[in-house]
Amino acid sequence: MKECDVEGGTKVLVVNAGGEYFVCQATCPHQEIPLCEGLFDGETLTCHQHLWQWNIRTGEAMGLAEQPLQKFEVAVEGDAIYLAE
Amino acid sequence: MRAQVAARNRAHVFDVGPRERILFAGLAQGISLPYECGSGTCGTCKARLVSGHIDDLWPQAPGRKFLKQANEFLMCQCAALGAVDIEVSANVYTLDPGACVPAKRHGTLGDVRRLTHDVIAFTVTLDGPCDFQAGQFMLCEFPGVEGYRGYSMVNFERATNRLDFVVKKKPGGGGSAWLSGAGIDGAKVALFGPLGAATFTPSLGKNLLLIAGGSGIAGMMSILDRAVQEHYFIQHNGHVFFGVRTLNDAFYLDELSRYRQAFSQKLSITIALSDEEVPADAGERYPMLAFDRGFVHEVAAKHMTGKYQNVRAYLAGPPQAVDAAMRVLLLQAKLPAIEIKYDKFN
Repeated sequence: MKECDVEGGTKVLVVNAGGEYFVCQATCPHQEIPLCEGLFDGETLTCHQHLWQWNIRTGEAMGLAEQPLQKFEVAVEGDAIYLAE
Repeated sequence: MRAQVAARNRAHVFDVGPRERILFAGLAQGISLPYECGSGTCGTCKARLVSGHIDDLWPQAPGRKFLKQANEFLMCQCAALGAVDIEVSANVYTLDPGACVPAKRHGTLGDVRRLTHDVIAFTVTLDGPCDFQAGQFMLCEFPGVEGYRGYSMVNFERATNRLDFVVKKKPGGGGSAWLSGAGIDGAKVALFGPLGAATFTPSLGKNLLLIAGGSGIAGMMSILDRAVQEHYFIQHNGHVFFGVRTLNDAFYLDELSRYRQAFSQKLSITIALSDEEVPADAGERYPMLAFDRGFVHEVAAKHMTGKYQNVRAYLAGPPQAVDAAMRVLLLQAKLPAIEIKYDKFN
């Protein structure tokens, strides 16, 4: 997992799930904790502060989470990852 | 003064007194505002001030590092200066009927005793009885020491005046330094609580996994006290892992031995030593306990393989130890987050 800046100043989290890339908001929707400090087991992203969890494919809230995660559509071209407008 | 809190699910209104912490006022009136440490370090009680004015009673609180906007503040450290409107980014419910409602309390310090070279036990005799859940803590304010410190109760009794605590001396720690001083027996102590969501009740009906580092064993002792009183380990397994640097840093080993002896079939207790090999005579001195070398999360991971069915885990101790144990439970054991309980003191 890596936090990245995109044009316009937005920060996003890029998650590598075994070669498949997912991009979501960089901070937890609960208390804005950086999600790059969290845990990822290949399917579920966990914020380490209060254990809110999401399905990385859908952004759907799991377990203790009270809000979904904002996801971005991505296109991978060679070594570059592009976000959809 | 009126405080209105807009939560994700609904709004709550409660009264708050002059210089009264907004968090304490809400909790004492049965509103389950978000918090973990209650003492200015974890940032969980972060809120946004929509209108009105507040007084920050501890502008240097470490938990302020979690504040991102100028209108954000810690409810545990701020008092209202008139009516305030606040927002929090979580669901907030009223406390369940029959819950132990936190309140300001007073008591007298006594029975201060040293358990190891840097661990002190003490007792507070409350002016009136108090109920709490096993695993909860109290915020304690000592005379002449600024601010509250959170300490977990070691014992478990219903409607009790007696609260037992244990504290590890920390360099620069105001509370533990004061407790190490002379002539404090009989001192008057102000408390707020009980607090904390990492609680155990026997109706849980799950196997228990308790992982504690250092003085984090305090709340685990309360959970064990309650579980043993209720003969919980006749039906359910209990796995206790207590991490310390060396055997000389360990405490409560006689008490843990008694718990194990009472329920030796289902209860296992392992002392993890991070900084020394297990002394040759450890097993002879404490035949009811197991010993292993390593950090407590490593030792727990090693001994728990294949034993995670129907488990509720409780974690306590230094933040690094809690985080490491949490990673083991989520990533290796695949335990659901809802079954991992801890109160974070960053």
